[in-house]
Amino acid sequence: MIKIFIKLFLSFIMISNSFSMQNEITLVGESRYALGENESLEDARLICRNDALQNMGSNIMMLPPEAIKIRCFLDEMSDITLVQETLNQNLLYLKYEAKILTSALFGKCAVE
Amino acid sequence: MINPILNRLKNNSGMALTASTMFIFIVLSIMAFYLARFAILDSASAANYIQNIRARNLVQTGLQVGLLKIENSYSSLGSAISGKLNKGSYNVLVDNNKDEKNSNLKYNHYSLLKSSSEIGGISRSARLIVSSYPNAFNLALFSKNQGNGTFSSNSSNSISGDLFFNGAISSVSMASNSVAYSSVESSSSPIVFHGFPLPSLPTLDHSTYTTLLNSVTGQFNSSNSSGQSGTSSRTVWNPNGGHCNVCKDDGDSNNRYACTNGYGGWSNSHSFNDFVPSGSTVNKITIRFKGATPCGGTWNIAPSVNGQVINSESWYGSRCSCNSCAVKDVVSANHTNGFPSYKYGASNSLTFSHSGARTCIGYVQVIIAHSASSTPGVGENETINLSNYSNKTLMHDGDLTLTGCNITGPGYVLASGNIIISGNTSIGGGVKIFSKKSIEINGSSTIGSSLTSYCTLYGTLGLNIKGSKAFGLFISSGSLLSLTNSTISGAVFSEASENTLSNITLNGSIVTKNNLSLTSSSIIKNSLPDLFGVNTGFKPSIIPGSYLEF
Repeated sequence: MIKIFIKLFLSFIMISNSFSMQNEITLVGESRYALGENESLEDARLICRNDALQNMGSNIMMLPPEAIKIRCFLDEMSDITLVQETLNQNLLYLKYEAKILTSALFGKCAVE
Repeated sequence: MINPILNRLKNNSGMALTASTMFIFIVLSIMAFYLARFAILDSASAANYIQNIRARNLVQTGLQVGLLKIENSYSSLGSAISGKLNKGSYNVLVDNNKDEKNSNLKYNHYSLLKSSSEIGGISRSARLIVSSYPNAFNLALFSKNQGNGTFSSNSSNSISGDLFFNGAISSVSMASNSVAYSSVESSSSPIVFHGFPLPSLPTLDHSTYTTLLNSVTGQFNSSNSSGQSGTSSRTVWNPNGGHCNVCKDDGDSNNRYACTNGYGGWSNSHSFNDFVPSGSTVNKITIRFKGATPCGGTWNIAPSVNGQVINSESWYGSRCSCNSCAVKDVVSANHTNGFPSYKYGASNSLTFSHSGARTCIGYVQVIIAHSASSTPGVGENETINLSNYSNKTLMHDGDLTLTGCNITGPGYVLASGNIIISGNTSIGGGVKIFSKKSIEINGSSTIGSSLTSYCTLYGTLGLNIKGSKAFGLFISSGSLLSLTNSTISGAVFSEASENTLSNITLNGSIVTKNNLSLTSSSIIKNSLPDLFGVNTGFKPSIIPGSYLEF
């Protein structure tokens, strides 16, 4: 009985996961930042990260950037993942991926 | 002693009695001699007479054997048949050309059936003239007139040879020595009541033709192929919207896009001109969507060309970011005989039916796989040698159109659909053309070249010959027989309800089941193609009055 319950539970989780995958959009954003003389790498990373996340709104083909409420957009992001980081002399490059529910993107985060 | 003897000798008494007795004896002897001779001659004559009767019976038996043979197989008497019966022998054969006097037979389609017998030293011979056609074809024109119409032939027509019409004849123009017979007893000159029994409509065994037509399979593909084999593509939609680039500029895309939610100027209807090489056959169509994957979910897309759905596909994706390029192909099934609904040399429409996740497309391509080929059932300006086909038979399941072709036989041309022959097509002798629908011949075509190099045409639904020259046997078992502006030599048989001859010269004979209409036409009784040894569905007949003993 317990085995059946576990199987049903796992199946439900998998189905839920697949449904959630279908309703999400993978976002991509990147940013480059030139480090100042007295600027720490950690600060630069933070600035560059925020910039990359904001740039994600410009990379959505379905909507022009001005049609997205950026505050809502940033709040609704999930699974933010650093995909690529390079530091070439003083030039920092970060590329992030994140996910957002389509319902949120085309719903409350879209400008009416 | 001597004197009494001399005295008796000198005595003349009794002389007269003796002389008369002698005379009577001699006369009676002579009479007895001749009587005996007559008796001998008479018995010889009687014996000869009996043998003669037996020989006549035997020669007629030979004819009967010959008739039975040719009824089922006209060619079975190609060589003589001999037999023995009642201590005699007979020999029967068919001669296609000469009569018993070694003179030419009157018509091509006549044959001499000759029987000889010998019994007890007595020989007899007899002959019949047989026709490879039924009796009705011995006339220039025969009409059963099943619909009880009235035959009318004005002075623009001429009929040379006897005709029979089963009904009333209102007017007719006959050549000299030609008689118009009618079934109406009260007929008056120049129309003559035929008398009973009336001639009957020949019976045609259609199975001779339908059996072959029911076996038709496959397609006729012309040896003159055109076009090219390969793949051709064209970008039919290259939207120029959006705020960023999608696929890199590869010569087909301008980098920009349109989305299914309307952003960028989405449209579900497009068109493109035929771009495959001329003469090619479109076998397979691929619609290629190039752009970002769907924006979180599955996009269901079913493109159609001229209303014909290419296929239905689902495209799953979650990335619709700028500079994110992917490809989705929707591929049709392969159509060997051509993609249905594709318009060659014209504009074709491309429409999208879609649902599901929103998707952005950079451009749409139509990719067509095509082949060099001919249109099935169409032959143009080519030589068709039937000996190159299996069983010397060209088959086509559907309508068959031959234009400007040179068809050489012997062999068969069979189609389950209509057969249309036009454009100075030449058809050689020995070609048999059967259609499960109708046969139409026009465009100054030539059918056969003589009564010995002739063609056979059978149209199940009809036969229409226009502007052509034809030799052979022509059969319409459908609703229409139409002969126009043509010269026809041979036999015409029609079971059609409508028979029209206009500006026709017919050398031969025409037999119809129903009434017929003549306009500016000449019918001249003449030779027909000799069908000796050919199964045409007709049974041979004996020419009335042709029995002769010699």
